[in-house]
Formats: sequence, structure tokens, C-alpha cells
Amino acid sequence: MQVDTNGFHCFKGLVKMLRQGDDLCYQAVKKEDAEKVQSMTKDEAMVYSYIEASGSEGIWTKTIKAKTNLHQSVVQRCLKNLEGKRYIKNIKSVKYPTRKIYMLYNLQPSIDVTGGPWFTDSELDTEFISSLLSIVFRFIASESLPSEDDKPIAPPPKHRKRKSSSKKSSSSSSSSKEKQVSYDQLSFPASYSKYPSLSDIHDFVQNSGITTVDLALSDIKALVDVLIYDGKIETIDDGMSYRVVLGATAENGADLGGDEDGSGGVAWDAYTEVPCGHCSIVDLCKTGGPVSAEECVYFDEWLIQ
Amino acid sequence: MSQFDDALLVLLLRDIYGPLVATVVDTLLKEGRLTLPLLARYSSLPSSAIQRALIPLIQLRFVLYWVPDDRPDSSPYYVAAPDRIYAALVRAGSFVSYVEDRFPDLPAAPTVVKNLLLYGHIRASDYLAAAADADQARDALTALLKCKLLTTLSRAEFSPDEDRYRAVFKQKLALIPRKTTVSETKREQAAEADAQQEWIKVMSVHDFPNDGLVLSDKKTKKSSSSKKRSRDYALSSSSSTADNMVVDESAILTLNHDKFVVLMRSQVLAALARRRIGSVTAAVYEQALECMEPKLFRCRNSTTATPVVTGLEILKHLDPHLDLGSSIAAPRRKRSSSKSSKSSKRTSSSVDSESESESDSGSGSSDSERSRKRRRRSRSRSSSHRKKRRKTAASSSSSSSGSESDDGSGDGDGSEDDKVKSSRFEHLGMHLALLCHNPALPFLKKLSSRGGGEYTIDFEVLMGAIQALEYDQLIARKQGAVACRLLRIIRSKGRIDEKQIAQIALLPVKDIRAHLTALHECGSLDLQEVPKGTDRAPSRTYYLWFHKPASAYALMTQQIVRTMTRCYARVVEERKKRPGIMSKLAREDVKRDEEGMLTAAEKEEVKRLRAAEEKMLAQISRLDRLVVIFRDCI
Ligand code: SF4
Repeated sequence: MQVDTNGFHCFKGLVKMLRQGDDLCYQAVKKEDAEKVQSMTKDEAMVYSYIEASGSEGIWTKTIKAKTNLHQSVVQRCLKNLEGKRYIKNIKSVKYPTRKIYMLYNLQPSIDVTGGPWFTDSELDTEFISSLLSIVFRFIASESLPSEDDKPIAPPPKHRKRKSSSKKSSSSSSSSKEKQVSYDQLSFPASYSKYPSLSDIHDFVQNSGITTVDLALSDIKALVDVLIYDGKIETIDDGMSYRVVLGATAENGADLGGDEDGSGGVAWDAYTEVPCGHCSIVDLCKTGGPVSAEECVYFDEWLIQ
Repeated sequence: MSQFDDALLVLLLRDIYGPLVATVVDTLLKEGRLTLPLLARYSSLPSSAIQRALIPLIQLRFVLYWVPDDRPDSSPYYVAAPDRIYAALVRAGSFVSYVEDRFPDLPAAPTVVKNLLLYGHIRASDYLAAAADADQARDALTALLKCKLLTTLSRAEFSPDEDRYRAVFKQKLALIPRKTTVSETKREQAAEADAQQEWIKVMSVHDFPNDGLVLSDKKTKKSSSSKKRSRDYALSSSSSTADNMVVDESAILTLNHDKFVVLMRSQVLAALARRRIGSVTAAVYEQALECMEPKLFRCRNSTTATPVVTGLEILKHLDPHLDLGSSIAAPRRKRSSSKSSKSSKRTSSSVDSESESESDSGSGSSDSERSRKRRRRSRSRSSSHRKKRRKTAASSSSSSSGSESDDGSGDGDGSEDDKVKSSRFEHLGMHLALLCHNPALPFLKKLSSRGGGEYTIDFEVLMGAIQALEYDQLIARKQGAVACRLLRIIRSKGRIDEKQIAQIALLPVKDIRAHLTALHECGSLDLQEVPKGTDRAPSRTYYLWFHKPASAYALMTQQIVRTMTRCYARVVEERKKRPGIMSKLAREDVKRDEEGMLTAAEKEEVKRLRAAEEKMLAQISRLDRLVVIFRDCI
């Protein structure tokens, strides 16, 4: 008797059978959903059921074909119809960008499929990432460098005379061995404990309204890691907080600072400023070879500079 | 030493000492150790010519010789010493200018260095006899010996180290009697251990403080003199306590290139500290390095432990005009309460900064307000502003010092010298702490709190970090910032495949592939294939990228040396292109009066030539700095 009832309901599509471990069980189906299925053809219902079962992962058309044992064209037609009725939708997967994958219309694709916050339409959104990177960098920079509000622990020498002598030419009065030091340093003491932590950065990004995308702590960590690899920030306090590497800019890592005197915009160093540092035929170049330093035109240009 | 290094050396030798000398060294570098007849055969030069070339080469110790102990009358072997040739020829200019900088009141010092570069070694008495002003020369020699830029030279040092070590080993082996109970390998091991100990002594023979110096009253000659004095000297970098020591006239003197590398390294370190922390801290660091200097003898194969320097020592020698306090920011205070003069007074007097920052963080409301303020600031701020701000921060604080001077002077009235000193000492401690707490580049290592803090440097760790940093910079400039990011990811992860790299770098796989190949090509990355199955199908294989620092650095050094070679080759070529002018310049009468003897066009030509030469030579010595970092520092 019971079986009969269930059979009836199954037929009506109001209950569906599930397998949980070794047991069979039944689940009630919403009436609208049931009606939806009712309105489909048998093939469509079958296709629909597999798509539904795939949940937020979605299902590849080839898999549908294999599971339903229907002909390619039939599957195609079913999918077309279902899509037309807005029961299912086609999504793009980050993992398999070439596959056609379907899922129920009202579901959100899972992170596996979308690739997380960094992906827009299954493409890595590099612009979004780089703008976030520079925002996070600026935040850390503003947090880890003293600002104009910060006072030194001791004011510079009070007496005019001494101040000027130490500011400009300390060497004139003292032994000339000393080098001239320009006093433009202002650093937090080593005991400074308020470098931003990961959650500080997270809070900042969330509250700043830069993005509507919900970023998890781990996403922020990924951003911060990239900044570390870029040599723009470094960890401190055993990785608990972050601070900017002195001299780094949002555009360039501090490591691109170049040689000491190269304070200009473009960073150079002794090696890369010689034409050979950039030369693509460097392996062919030797005295008596097809190209040589003796006849090198790049050198001609460089020497004129 | 690779072939390309050799090319540079041969090129330099040819230009400076002529083709004969260059050919001899070239043959020795290519063929290894040779006796005179063999050298003649391989170089196809007559023996007499070779002998003529060998004399200056041996004098300069560019070529070393060895006569086997057991066959004292056999003909000696000759061995080229590329390291010494490199040091003497490439670093000559930097050496002279360093000495000029360091001893501005000793005009004879650079001359001494120049002469030693020319002659290799000199007996002190001969040099003094020949010098224009013997007293000045004596002072210069003494000063250079004291800072170890000069050392004494013994006969044994004209032989290659390997042979000398072999000899020591043989000696030690002979001392251990042959026994049936002890295996021959054991015996050799024991001898090896003994020999190594002995060798350390041999190598550090010039390391004691009074090497080549005697008491000025000439009573004791080269005594190991009173221990107290030597310790005193070691402690003080200034020459005050060692004043009565002068150069031992019987000593044979030569330049100490090892020590010069140590000094170059110190310069590199200080420059980096300036860039990464700030100029004042760098000045402190420089002083710390200077205090250690008497006990740092060489970078590579250092047998002595890294010296320890104390905070008090640094303070004693620190430039008294160096203003320490104004470069350390006071902990941020409540923003709501305007920065009252009281607060600045409190901070300017010696308040423990740590306890203060703690009390600050206790109040939650001020914190949140602060963060709101920050947020506002951070939006408006671009990084270029930041730099400017740092400058203005310093200058504004200096200008505001006027307003603070009221309570400041009040402070000063009450405080004695002691108080100033103690606060200065405290500030020094803060700068030293900045140097210690720099996880990426641990400039200093604190050992204990004795004597105002005992500090040392873990050179291996620090130089390793600097090498990596320099390497990354070169890569970043050569291949772009993305390549540098990828390289660093690979370095920190070990072996890693393309997809994971892309994930960490937050870049699409297709974008990074070209960079990885470029890095592979220039030798900074290697690729390992791990097949998933027994067939080695490419689709079923993991490709793991990895980075081997040692070989990557070696390749980079090679590229750098090659670049130096090219620069120098170009200098030679530039001269060759102007045979007329060169021969005219070589004329004695022209040398005496260039202005008068050259036409305007010629002058123009000479100017251009000299500019090119200068540019290239300056470039070479800057490239040498990279060689120091990658090859000679540890
Ligand atoms: S000399 Fe000219 S051709 Fe040769 S590596 Fe340098 S730039 Fe390239």
C-alpha cells in the first residue's frame, strides 16, 4: 500500500528517490518543481534530473549524453528547450574553459567553477587584482611609515648653530673622515607593534567600499603574498603583521631602487645599464665573432649618451 | 674561474703589460701548471722571452711557482693566480680611491698603494729610501699596516696554497708512525685533521694586530709585544693606543686584497641599510662595522669567529654630531588630544617606548578613531607623496623644534650630561634594534645585553639574503617585475608546477609561461620532469620548476664578467681607432704640454676618447661591486 502511494507520488514527481549509503530514501519535491518536470517530455525530464543532481558544480554535456544514453541531437534539443524555459543555464568553468557545462538556472556556480573572487566570466580579472594590490599596498604603506603627525622621540638639536652644522656639513667641524649624512630618516622604533595584521587589511578592504565582491581572509592573504613576492612589503613579528619595504612604490618594488645614486625615475644598475645587460645576442658576441663589443652599435649609442 | 673571467684577465694584461705577458698567463690559465720547457712548447715562445715575462709576473704574484720539496733541484712549476690578477687589475682604481677617502690627511697613502700595485711587493726600507718624503711615507705605511690594507709577505707566499697545504699534509703524515693496527686511511684522516689545523695557523699568520709593525723605539723587533697593547688596539679602531708602533723597516710589504674585499663588503652593507632603513641608522651601522673591522680579516674562508661589538663601543666611536633621536618616531598618541607640549616633553625625555605603545593600544576608542583617520589618509595618498612626506616629516619636526625649545631647554637646564648620554645611548639602542629586527635582511644579531648589548653579524645569512636580493633586482630589471615575482615564488616553494605558480602569482597561466621560459634560458630556473606513469608522455608528466641559487649566481657572475670584458675590449678598440692621436699622446713632449701641442680638433678627439674611457672604466668598477656580492663576499 505504502509502496503504491509512493509510486504514485513518484510518478507525479512530488517525491524523489535518493540513495544514501546502502539505503534508499525519499525526498519531497516542491510543487512548482514537480510541475516543472511534469511539463517536460520524458527525455527532457531525464536530462533535467541529471543537471539538477549536479548541483552547483554543473554538468558537462558529454557526461549528460553518456549518462542518459540519448543521442547527441536529442540531448542538444532537450538542453535548448530547457534553456529556453529558463530552467537551466550554460556556465563557463575556470577549470575546463572549453567545455559546455549546464546547471540549474537559479543556482550560483561554486567556487570551483568560477575560480573564486579573482575570476570574472571565468577569466582571471587581472585589472581587478592589480588595483586591489595597489590599494592594499598603499594601506600597508600608510600604516607602517610615520606620517607628518608623528614626532621624533627627541627633537633635532635645538641650537641653531649646531643644527645647521649637523644638517649640512657635519664633516666640516669634525674629522673629515665622516661622510655627510642627510638627516631625512624617520622610522618607527623596532618595538613598534601596530603594523597592520591580516585582519586589519581585511577590514580595511571590506570597509573601503572598493569592491562589492566578498573577499575572504584567505583572499587577502593571497594578495599580501603577492606583494611580498614583489618585494614591496615584508612580514614582521613572525609573519603576524606586515610593513612596507622602504623605497617601494605601488608601481615598482623597492628592489627596483637601483644603485644608490640612481634616484631618478627609472631604475638602473651597473649591469643592466650597459647594453649587454639587455642584449639578446649576448651568446654570440665575442671578439672575432659575428658580433663583438669592438663593433657593437649599441655601444656606439651608449657611449654617446 | 671560468674561461670568460680568464678572457678579461688576459685582455687587461695585454693592455697593461703587453702581449708577451698576456700570452704567458693565457697559456698557464688554459693548460694549468707548467714547467718552463712545457710553457715554451705550449705558448710557442722562446724560453728566454718567457723568463723575461715571468719575472714581473712572479714579482706581482700573478704567477706562483712551486719546487717540489723532495726534488729541490728539479725545475719549478708555474701556476697562474687568476684571483690575484683579478683583484690587482680590476680593483686597482677602487683600492686607490678608497685609500684616498679613508686617509685624506695622508697624501702619501694612495701613492704607496699605487706603487704596490705596480711592483707587487716592496721592502719597507727600500720604499722609504726611495720616497720623496720619508716621514710621510712612513706614516702612510704605518697607517695602512694598522688597518691591514698592507700586510707582510713571506717567501712561502710565492707558492700556490694547494702545494703549500700538500706539503703541510705530507709533513703531518710523516709524523704519524705507520702501524699495522691502524689502517692507512685512518692515518691519512688523522694527518688531514692535523694539517687543517696547522693550515689555519698558516693562513692567519698575518692576522695579528702588529703584523709588520714595531715599537717606534726599535728596541723590540716584530715582537708579539705586550698582549695588552694588541688587545687595546683591537678594541679601538682609531690609532690612539697603537701610536707608538711604526712600520718595521725590514718587513716586505704587499697589498692585502682580502681585507679590501672586507671593506667593500662593509660599504655594500651600509649602503643597503641606508636604503632599507635610513641614513641615520646606516651611519650607526657603519660605525658598528668599523668597530668590527680590526677583527674581520677576509670574507671567504674566514677562520676566525665573527667579532662581537657592544653598544657602548659603538657609542664611544660614534660621530658626536650624529643626531640619533630625531630619526625615530615617537609612538602614536591619541589623536583627539592635540599633541600637547607635555606629551612631547614626555617622549623626549627617556620614556620607555615599549611601555608607552602598550598603554596607547589599550584605549580602544582612540584606536578606532585612528584607523578611521588612516583610512581617509590612505585613500588620498599616493606613494610618491609618501616619500616626500618622509622628508617633510623630518624637516617639519626640525622646524617645530623651535616651538618646543621652551620645554626642551627647560629640560636641558635640569638634566646633566649623564642624562643626555643615557638618552643618547637609549636612542642608539633603538637604531641597533632596527638593524636587528629586519627579518628580510638581518643586518645585526643581538647576542646578549651585556655591555650595552652585544651584537654580531651572521654574515652567511645576511650575505645570502643580499645575494638573493641583488639577483632578484637584476632579474627584475632584465626580465621585468613579473619574472621577478615568479622567481621568488619558486624560490620560496622549492619545486612547483606552472599551474600552482600562476595561482599564487594571481596571473593567468598563459601570461607566465613566456616569463618562465625566459628565466629558464638565462639560467635562473631549471625544469624537472616527473612522469606520472611509465610512459613518458608529455601530457602525463609534471613539470616542476626550481631555482638553484649557486649555479644561477655563478652564471650571473659570468655574464657580469663578460660584460666587463666587453667594456674593456671596447676601450682598447676606441684607442685603436685613433692611432694618430694615440701615438701623438705617447710622445714625451706632448705629454708635457698637451694644451700647447694639440690642435683644437685633436683636443676634441682626445676629450671624446677620454670620456668613453672614463665611462667604461667606471662601469667596470661598478660591475665589480656585483662580482664582490656574488662571488667574493662569502
Ligand atoms: S657588445 Fe653589443 S652585441 Fe655584444 S653583447 Fe654587448 S650589446 Fe650585445
